Amino acid sequence: MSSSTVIRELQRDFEAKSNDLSKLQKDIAKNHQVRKKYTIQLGENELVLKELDILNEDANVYKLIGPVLVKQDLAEANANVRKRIEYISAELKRLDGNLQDLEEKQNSKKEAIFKLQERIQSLQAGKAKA
Amino acid sequence: MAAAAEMEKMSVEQVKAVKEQADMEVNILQDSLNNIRTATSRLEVASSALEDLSLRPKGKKLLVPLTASLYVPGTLDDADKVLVDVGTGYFIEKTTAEGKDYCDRKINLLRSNFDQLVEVAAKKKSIADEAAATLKAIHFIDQFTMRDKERGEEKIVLMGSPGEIVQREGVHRFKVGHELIRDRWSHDDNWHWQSATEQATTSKPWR
Repeated sequence: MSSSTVIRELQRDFEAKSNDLSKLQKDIAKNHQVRKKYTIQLGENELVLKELDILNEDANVYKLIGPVLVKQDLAEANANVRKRIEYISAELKRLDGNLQDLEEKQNSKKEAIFKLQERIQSLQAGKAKA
Repeated sequence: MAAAAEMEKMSVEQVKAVKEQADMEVNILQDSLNNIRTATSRLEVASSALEDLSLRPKGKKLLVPLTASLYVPGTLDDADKVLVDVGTGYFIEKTTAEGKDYCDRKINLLRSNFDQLVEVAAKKKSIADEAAATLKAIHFIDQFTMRDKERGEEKIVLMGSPGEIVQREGVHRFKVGHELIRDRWSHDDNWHWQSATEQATTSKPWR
């Protein structure tokens, strides 16, 4: 095989890998966004829980459902918020795992691309000499 | 600082990356600080409104805003009990005093967060500045070598292993291996680092 076809082959490979990399980077950015959203929600819920915790047993708690305030049992509200915090924490953990996975993939892709680049360059340099 | 020591071992690209990253983080932190500030002022408004409300007697006539420009007359029924929006759709019935207490607690929480953030932001800022100073010093050396080629002036080669960045006078650093021109009209035979950096920063004329 002549060196120019090899180079072309490598360049095609290079392009495919770059596309994969940008896809991965998009996924990571998306992950970051979702995680940010959940982190904010988690913080808000924790604040609410703290408020609920310091209330007297007979305090009146209302929940906004659509445009109406509905009176709710304190214990029920407490359980609700706790469940939400649990859910969000689990979701955050899952996202963390996902992110790690994605980052590993990204790094290996980057390395592969770097190696390809080096090979293409050395081949091109060899061709220029010849 | 540990970050500064690490920066001396980095390449120009790495320092640039560090600077960009630090700048970005500084901006984000700055935004957060602004958000906290607005939140605090909103709570302060709420707190003073509660104070105001508690001073009004029961049965007092007042105008209730339905929209920003439409008000309807009403009478104050119960200034003792207020509903506090604690977030995520939950409202808690509190007395006015408790409501005020809630506002004050939130304000204090925000203040302490604010102070913490200010500290973090200052640290990030110093890293960004550090990186900027390093970049400037490297850039400065590059210009020196260019001038040197044009004029063929006396050169001073930094001592040390090539690529190493030496630090002089705290802020300015030079990459060893680059060459520095000694200023021709300088009468100071004990020419040292400091004067070179001063020339760069004060842009002293070269002729």
